[in-house]
Amino acid sequence: MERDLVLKARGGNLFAFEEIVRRHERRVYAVAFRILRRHDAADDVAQEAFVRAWRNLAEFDAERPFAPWICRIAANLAVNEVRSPRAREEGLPEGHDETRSAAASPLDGVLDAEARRVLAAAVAELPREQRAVFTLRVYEEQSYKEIAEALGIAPGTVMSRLARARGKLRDALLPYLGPAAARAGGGGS
Amino acid sequence: MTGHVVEQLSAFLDGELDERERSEVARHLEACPECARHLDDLLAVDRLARGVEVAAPAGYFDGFASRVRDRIRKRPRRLVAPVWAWAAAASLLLAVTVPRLMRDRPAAMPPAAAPAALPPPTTLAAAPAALEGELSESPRELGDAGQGKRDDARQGRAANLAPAKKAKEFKDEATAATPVPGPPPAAQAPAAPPAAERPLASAVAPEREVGALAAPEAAERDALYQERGKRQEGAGAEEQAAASGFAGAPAAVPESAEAPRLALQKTAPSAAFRALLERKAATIAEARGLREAWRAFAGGAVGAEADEARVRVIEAGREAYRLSGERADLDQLRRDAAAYLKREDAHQADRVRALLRGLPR
Repeated sequence: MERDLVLKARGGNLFAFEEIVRRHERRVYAVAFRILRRHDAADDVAQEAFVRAWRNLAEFDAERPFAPWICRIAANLAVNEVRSPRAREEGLPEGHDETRSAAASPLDGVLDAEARRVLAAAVAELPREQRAVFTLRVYEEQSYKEIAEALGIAPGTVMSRLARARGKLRDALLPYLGPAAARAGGGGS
Repeated sequence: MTGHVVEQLSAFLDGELDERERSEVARHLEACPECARHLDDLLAVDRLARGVEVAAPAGYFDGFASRVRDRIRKRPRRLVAPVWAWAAAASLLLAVTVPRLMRDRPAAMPPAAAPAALPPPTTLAAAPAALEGELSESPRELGDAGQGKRDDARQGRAANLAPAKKAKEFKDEATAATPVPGPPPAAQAPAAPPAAERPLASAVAPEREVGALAAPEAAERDALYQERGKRQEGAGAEEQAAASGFAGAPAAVPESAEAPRLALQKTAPSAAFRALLERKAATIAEARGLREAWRAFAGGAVGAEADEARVRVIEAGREAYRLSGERADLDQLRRDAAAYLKREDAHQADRVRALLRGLPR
């Protein structure tokens, strides 16, 4: 159980913490990458998020799920681009945009694949702050309150940033939204 | 409702509108095909977005956990006093010594004001030294800015604080690992810098670990804090209002010397904490001084002590208002209580609400 791993890690068990890392590394990396859009920066932030989680485990409620907490830490670091001392000292090179569209399933079809490429480009154009709220809401399904706390902003700011982000993405995707919206109908979020 | 509701559709989609707004938007959507289509578009955007996967380089995750482990081992959980901690220590020292100096000047204070309220002389020296003892382990871990003050404080250093709890060795069934020469226990989580210095709002304060950096890193990080603090000052008022109450970081560990609510604390109360617990306030000035001393202490404390200190700020403020009857004390009390009750890690909200009962509107 994850709770047991957290309690062990809190007691100093680094191997238990490594197991926690393995369970959440992909998700944390994805959060960081979606906000930062660069592999090297996302790698640094993802590692740093776990380091900080380790150091602050005493303040984490083991009864609660670990993923939302570590994702909030990662998002916060990404937005503020608080990089590790090593990365700042060595000036790690910028990577390339590495988001790629998921392989389209037969049901999705070519049109969706193209829409996702357009969407990925549109997301990349968003201000980092808007990408952060969009990521935490759409991918991590966190509440406005949780997002506000993670990023140190007011819930009203979360609401307005999210509305602006979605509005921009909708504008970019308008040519594709007819069929996609038709399939999405009733799906909810 | 007149006009379209496009601005509210995003929050409607997320279920983040209050009941009245939600029902208004829902009614509008029934009668407005344009807004209904806009909502469908937003749903489609979300759905498409979820289909965009992040692809890390091949093999990237193979050694990710071990890289994290290496970082952790290079920067173990150590506690260091950054500049702000010295500011807190200085404030505490002033808060403790000023009333004493005042007492020594009979003309400046009524005779009844002094004796019982003042801590014993040993406490005066112990408080800042104890704070230092809790926050740092090695002189080189502190930036240059704090070195002089650190040396000064060390001269007054009192007895050792609670010894560090040895890292617990374990047997992990899943990993069959060897014991880790690892970090100290989590009970010694680093102190959080004041909100104005935090680059991370909550605090998650993940950046509390700044204390673990070696001297050059700590100095660099302090500079980063200051820069970000200035940037935050320039931010919008709306964002400022939220920046003080982080949160990413979940609850503190409950505990204390005397109260059951602090029973889970893993380390003994610090000397500074005990000294403040012993202080009494019989006059307006003492109550206000105690309030500010607790505030200064809370700024450099973590976990249960920090939580208790924040409540003590309010208690002392309540006493200051009881003694003075002044509006300024009442307003300060309300601000302090409101700030506490907004915190995610407010473990003693009921106690604080009880302190607010009976206050004038």
